[in-house]
Amino acid sequence: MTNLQFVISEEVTVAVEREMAVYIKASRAKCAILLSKNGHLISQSGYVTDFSLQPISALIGGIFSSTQALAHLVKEEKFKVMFQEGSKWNVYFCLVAEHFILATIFDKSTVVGMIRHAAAETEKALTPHLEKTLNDEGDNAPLAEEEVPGTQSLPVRESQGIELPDLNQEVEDALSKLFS
Amino acid sequence: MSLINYSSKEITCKIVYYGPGRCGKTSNLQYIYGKIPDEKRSSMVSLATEKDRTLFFDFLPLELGTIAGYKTRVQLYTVPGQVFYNSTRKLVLQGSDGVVFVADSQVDQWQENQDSLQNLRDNLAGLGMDLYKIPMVMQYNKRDLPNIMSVADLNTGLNFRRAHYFEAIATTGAGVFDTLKTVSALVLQSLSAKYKK
Repeated sequence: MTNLQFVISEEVTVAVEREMAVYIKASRAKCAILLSKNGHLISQSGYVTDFSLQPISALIGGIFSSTQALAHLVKEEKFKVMFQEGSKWNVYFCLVAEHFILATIFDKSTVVGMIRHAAAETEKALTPHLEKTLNDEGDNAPLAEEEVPGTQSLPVRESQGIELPDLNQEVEDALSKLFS
Repeated sequence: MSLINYSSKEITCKIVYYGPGRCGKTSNLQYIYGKIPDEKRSSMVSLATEKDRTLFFDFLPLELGTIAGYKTRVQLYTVPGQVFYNSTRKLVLQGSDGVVFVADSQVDQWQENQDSLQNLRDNLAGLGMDLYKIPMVMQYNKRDLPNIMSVADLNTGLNFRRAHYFEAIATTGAGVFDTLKTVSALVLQSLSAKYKK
């Protein structure tokens, strides 16, 4: 297994946001989030007050991972969808392009059948875009300098005779600012 | 499994605190969480048993701010340290960009430290990752307790890859931010090296 990284270009961002907006409208859900299986939040559409989406993403990533482990134990290749029903809010999530999860938070203004149908359509629409974001370690992805003109690229560690930029100082400054 | 969004200029990376049971992994995150000012504080998620032992993971998202032009988000996870939760440790370790190995400095925890480090190596290998290559920091915790090993002995026995190391007392915060700063910088440098021309 390689250690995948996700590199999201502007083109993919626009396409994903467009499909997510279509999905929210079609499903009548309150909020939909797209995340990596690892729990990184990639995109959201719709909004629910007071829901903190980063921890929600991390937990969904964890739930999904443990569910896949469970699938293997019962000799299934994978479980593609999950549904959690609450008194007010429900959560439906499904696997997209093997490495991503589309999670939907909805209330009684829609039904799970509609969510399931719209999610299946959205999965098909998102897959070709998301496959472009996969990047095996060792590949050279496009550089930020070229894709985002005028921005500073991340300092680079060179192994032969070039001084290592002081990223420690930048991180220390950022932490000092955060915890001040 | 970092996430780099060129459109919104954001980087998200995952750092996992690993180590034997009761070595202080959760204490590291709790100390960090407690120091975040209220207005910047997000949620810390802890999935623990009734006796406050980590069951699945602890999770703390940190918005570091802008580093080298990118809004940088670091997600801190701990693994459950108890031996029988190995399948859960593997799941949490999946996609990690950096590791902090928290060792318990007490003499009677020596074997647990070694077993946990070997377990880390095995689990990384199972995920196609190499303990010698992943950005890593060693933290020698519980330096305030009696009957602890010397740092030299801990380094000799555990730090065979000569990673950065810090002495720590996680409950008081000593060494906690040095560890976090260093592992964050190593992860970002590693990402940067991968994406350079």
